[in-house]
Amino acid sequence: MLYAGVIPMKIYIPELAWSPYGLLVLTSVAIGFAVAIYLMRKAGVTKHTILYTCILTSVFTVTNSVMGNMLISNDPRALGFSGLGAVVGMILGVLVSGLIIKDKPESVMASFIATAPLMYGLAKTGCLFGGCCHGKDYEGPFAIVYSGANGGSYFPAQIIDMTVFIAMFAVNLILIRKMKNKIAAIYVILALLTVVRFLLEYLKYYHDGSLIASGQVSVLVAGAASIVLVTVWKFLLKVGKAPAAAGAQN
Amino acid sequence: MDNQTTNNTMQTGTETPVTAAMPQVDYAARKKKADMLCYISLGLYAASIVSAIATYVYSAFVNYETQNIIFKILSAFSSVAFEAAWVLVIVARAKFRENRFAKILLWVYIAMAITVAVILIAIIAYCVYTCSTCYMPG
Repeated sequence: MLYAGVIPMKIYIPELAWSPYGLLVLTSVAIGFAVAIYLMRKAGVTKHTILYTCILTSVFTVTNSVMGNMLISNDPRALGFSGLGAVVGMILGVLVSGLIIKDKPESVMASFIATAPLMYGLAKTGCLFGGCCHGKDYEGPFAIVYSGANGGSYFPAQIIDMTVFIAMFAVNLILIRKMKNKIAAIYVILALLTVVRFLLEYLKYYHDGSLIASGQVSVLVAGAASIVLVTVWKFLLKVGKAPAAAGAQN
Repeated sequence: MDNQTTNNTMQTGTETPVTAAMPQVDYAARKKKADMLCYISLGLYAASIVSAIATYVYSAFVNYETQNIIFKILSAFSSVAFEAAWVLVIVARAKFRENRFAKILLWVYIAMAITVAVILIAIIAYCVYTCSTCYMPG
């Protein structure tokens, strides 16, 4: 709800009877997969490749997300999802399926990497209503106000995350469409995502004000790991040349 | 009728003459390889479930904060074994498309995953419903 006028405009999040976090995260992932499937079909990837890639990517995404949450929380009984674990799992799943199936692997990878910020951005609606990942204390315009025991007025970090990552998805679509070398497009997208996510960490309530906080180190490690994984995969599959260059060599 | 002609008959339904240019496909060897992949996949799947249960049972008896390296090893093994089981069944399905064991095993895994997801959603929905309707008399 937005209240304008004499009172500064604020966004009030009501206290919900149950947290829609899990439902919204799973819906975001499902929408992301649907868009990735559409992009793969447009790139001419066969139905069998899409089916097997989606199965492996789902398994790796969920398993690594749950595993990542266990490792971060240091509690083997903590069942939950970790966003960073999910991203690394998704890349691993696409890499492995590319190594097995070898049907337009760079188009499959580009489709999933381009869609990742859409999933992440939409999943932030879960954080917005769940009350997690909020910004620092803030009373100005567009502050997000939570009621209840853990209530407070916060900088709208989740809304900025959503907007930036959905805009990133639009940029990614242009990049994979315009750039002939899909692997180069994947590197550019991964680098952009790492930088954007790193900068957005400054807005979070848990950022301690230092130049590089521990959360930002995790972002840099996950970004570097993704780039290394893509590089290893590229050499194993011998992909990554622009069509014109590959044709000249033949 | 030699073995190659028999295999051609099995694949196409009609008997076609075998020429020297046609590739020699050893269907028995392919079946053996695909079955082996499926058996290893099944073994890893079972091991991942046993390892996950062992992690939870073990955590009830010891302090996981002081001995968390064992939990990390157990849960990492469980995750890697689970992922490897799916990878192997997909390899069997993608490389040996004619193999029925791989096809059935993949659909069994998918059915199990859907069943577990539905059960989890039902449990969560039940907990949410119970918490929202519960009241403490007196």
